Amino acid sequence: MNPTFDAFLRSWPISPWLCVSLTIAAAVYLHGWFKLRQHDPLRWSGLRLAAFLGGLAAVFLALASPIEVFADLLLSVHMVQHMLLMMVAPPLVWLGKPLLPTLRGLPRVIRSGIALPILRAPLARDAFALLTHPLISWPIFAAAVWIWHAPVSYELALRDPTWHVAEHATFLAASMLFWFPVIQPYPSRPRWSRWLVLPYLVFADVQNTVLSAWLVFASEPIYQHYMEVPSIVSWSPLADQQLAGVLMWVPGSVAFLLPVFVIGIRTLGGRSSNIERRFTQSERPHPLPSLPIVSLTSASCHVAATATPALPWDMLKAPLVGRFLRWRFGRPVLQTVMLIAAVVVMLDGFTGPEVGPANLAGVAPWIHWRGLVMFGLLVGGNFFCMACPFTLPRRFAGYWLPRGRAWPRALRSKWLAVALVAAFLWSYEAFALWDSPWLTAWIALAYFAAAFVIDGLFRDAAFCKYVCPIGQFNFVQSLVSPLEVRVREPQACTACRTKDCVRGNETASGCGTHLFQSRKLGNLDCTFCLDCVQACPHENIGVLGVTPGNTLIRLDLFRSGIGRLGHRADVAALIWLLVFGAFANAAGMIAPVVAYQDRLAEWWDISQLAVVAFYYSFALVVGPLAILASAAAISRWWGRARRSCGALAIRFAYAFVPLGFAMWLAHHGFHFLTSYATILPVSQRLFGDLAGVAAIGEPAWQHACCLGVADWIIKFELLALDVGLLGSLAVGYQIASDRTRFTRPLRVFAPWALLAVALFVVGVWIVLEPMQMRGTLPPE
Amino acid sequence: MHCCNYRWQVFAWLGLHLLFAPRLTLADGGAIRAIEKSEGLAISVFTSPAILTAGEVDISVLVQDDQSQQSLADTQVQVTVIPREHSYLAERHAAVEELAANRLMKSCHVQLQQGWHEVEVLVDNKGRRGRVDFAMFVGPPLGRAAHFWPWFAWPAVPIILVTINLAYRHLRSNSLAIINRRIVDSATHDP
Repeated sequence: MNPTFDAFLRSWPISPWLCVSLTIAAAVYLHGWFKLRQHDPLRWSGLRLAAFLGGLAAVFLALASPIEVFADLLLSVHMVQHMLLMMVAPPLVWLGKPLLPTLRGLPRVIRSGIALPILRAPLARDAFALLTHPLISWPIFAAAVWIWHAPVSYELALRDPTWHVAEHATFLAASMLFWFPVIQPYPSRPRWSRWLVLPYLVFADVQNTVLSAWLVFASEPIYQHYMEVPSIVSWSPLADQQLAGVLMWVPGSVAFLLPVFVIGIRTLGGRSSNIERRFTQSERPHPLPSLPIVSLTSASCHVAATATPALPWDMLKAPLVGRFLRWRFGRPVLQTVMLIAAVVVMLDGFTGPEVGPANLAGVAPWIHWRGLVMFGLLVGGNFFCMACPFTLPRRFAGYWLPRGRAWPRALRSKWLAVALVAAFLWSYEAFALWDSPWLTAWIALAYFAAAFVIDGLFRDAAFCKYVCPIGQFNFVQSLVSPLEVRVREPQACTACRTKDCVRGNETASGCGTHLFQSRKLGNLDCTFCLDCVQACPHENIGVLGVTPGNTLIRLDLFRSGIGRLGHRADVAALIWLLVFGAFANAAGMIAPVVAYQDRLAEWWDISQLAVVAFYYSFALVVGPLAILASAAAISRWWGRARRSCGALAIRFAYAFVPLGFAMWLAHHGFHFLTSYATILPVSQRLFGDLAGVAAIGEPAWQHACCLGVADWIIKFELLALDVGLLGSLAVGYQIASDRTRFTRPLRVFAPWALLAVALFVVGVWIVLEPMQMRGTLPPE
Repeated sequence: MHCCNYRWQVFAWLGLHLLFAPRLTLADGGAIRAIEKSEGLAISVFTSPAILTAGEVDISVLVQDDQSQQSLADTQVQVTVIPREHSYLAERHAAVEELAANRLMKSCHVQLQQGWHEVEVLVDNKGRRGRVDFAMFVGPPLGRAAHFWPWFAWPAVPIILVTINLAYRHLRSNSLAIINRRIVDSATHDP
């Protein structure tokens, strides 16, 4: 085989992002196509699937195959690349009728929360209708072709990879618009006679021919780049250019003229296609009768969107996991495992070396547990409270302590928890808890004692609901989790008279935090204990998939055990504290802030403890109060809101939960992802200390030091912040769109949006600054 | 059940792909730095990225027979990079085909500091030896913000689009209201 051709076949520049994007697109289409095919196999034939996948394959071949690699060396190969992007991929994608399969294939959350609102947006509808009008799409296509083939722009694209990407994106986008009126994919309807498509294509072929002829008949190479690069073939750059021109001319003309014949013959015959005619004649009902028709625009496109009434995913019905969770002793088993882990951590904290990265109490709680809690909240829900070891001993507290008193009425709010969370955030930094295994062990012991005493003296789960700072943190963050404990069939609860889920029965106690399932909304105060699941005689409670953050909007609905969120100043204060605390806590670990704190201590000649106290009092109290008062005052004045500043600050607190969650995730995720391996040498050291021999090897301390920060970790953190910002803006706008309360939603929302953007900028700054590698050993 | 099986297959494939794809990401040719011909060999040297900044730089070498233009696979290529200010920090790397996206070439990845560098490329094809020397300037490193900007700037796109959509909706509703008012006015003033 020719060595050049052999090298060509082996040169695959796999681009991970492109491959992942194409794979996701194919998977979504395939999922939707399967579902639609069950209703209407005739319309959704295998040819549609093949066409769509063929279109994606053409994009893959153009951008992630040897064609991409050799395009810089040979103009003819570059031309093949452009032909794939302009003549092959777009018509094939449109022939796959991608709109409905893609919509149907998307997860419900994305479909209803993102895709359909975009498709229904007036701007999107009108812009798409305008851009796909033949009088607009034809000039766009021709302009894209001619502008990018001008020597100046072509050379620019060859020199600069960013411009090369822009060139390909322009070609693909312009061609998608160009081929839309030609293919007119279902369910769009033509707004013009099909006869008009014939001159549309013929004129496109004419301009293509002129450009091709210019390349073929030029007396010298037009693009300087191909004169400069080393020749890898036996023919000259001029011959290569002529070959490129021929490729553009002949296959290009075929691509334009073949549809002319097909459409011409069909239009002469007075039909569009067999299947379309059949539906028109028989007035057959829509293939998806149960699905509402969503009109995108009166003329351009009618979309049958899908909103199947299927039940959301239920974790309790998942294989293995669901069975374990439904098991009566499932939770106690989890709690026992966590209790053993906690005892080992405390033991090492009290007796092990007083060096954070060398002690289990310096590593497991501050690196692994916090990171895993955040990942658990991100992908599921409040799993830590489910496996909480602190509440396991309370089962025995009743034997020794006079249980049965009600929690004092004055303390039935989150204010005590707010104070405890603030105190914890301050003490964490002030006493460097992360670097003090001994103090960490004491805190854990105090936690066990507090849970034991409070739950021994007071009935229900008073510790969890009103005291536990960890629980409050998890309750707030789980408001954006994708799982929620709730009823499967609301109808079944209307007939229920016993209300076992909250009152309990002989098999299980009811909800300790007084959440009556049929009126429960969101994860606030839900410990995922699943007592309600055990108690419900109708087996009507599940751990169901929900739209993350959906329950942050309906603030005036009465929620069992909580009341109306829009009236809960204590819950709002807790949220604001955790939002500002997320940024303050992370900022306290980056180099500029640490240096500034040192300078402050030097200037004022005060201790580091006092500086930290000053920092946290400003970052958690003074600063937030000033910012919130300003935002609320502007919001009230500009939006002419007939509500107090306090009421506005309460309502919009819920909008900031996603952003606060994102910052906690970025921060704790960073420590976990950079330092997870420290558990290995610490466990080896502990085992060696306990057993007296290094049975699981000598501590591999290299895993606990000198760890680099990979790019993808920074990208992960930034992505978390991006999604958090967009989530906060979306929730905030929906809160402001409550027409019964605000007549000028945008103006009411504007100051809060600015605050969210400002916090996002601070978060990005924190992520991009070098962060202290806590929990790892220094290189020496 | 059928649907679930299919879903698992897709996820498994995606997972495997995510796991292995980054390892297959290879260097590209990049900008041409030098072309030399000696002892019947045509040697072309490319660097990537086109505008060099401190950090990892890809140096790719294409060795061809000067007469036939055929690339010569059975060739040893050594790349030596010497910082002009700190020549004691010179590094020598073997360029190999495995690191090149274009398998006609041989590539190596070099960590470079800011400043001028002398580059020496030595080629040995079955006794035929060639050498290319050139100098290149490496700019200051991109800051983290410059490096990661697409990752934190992209939310601006949906925010701007949503804002435009809201403004557009507002304008459209206003213009519809004006048209309706004119219709009502003309109807009431029509004798």
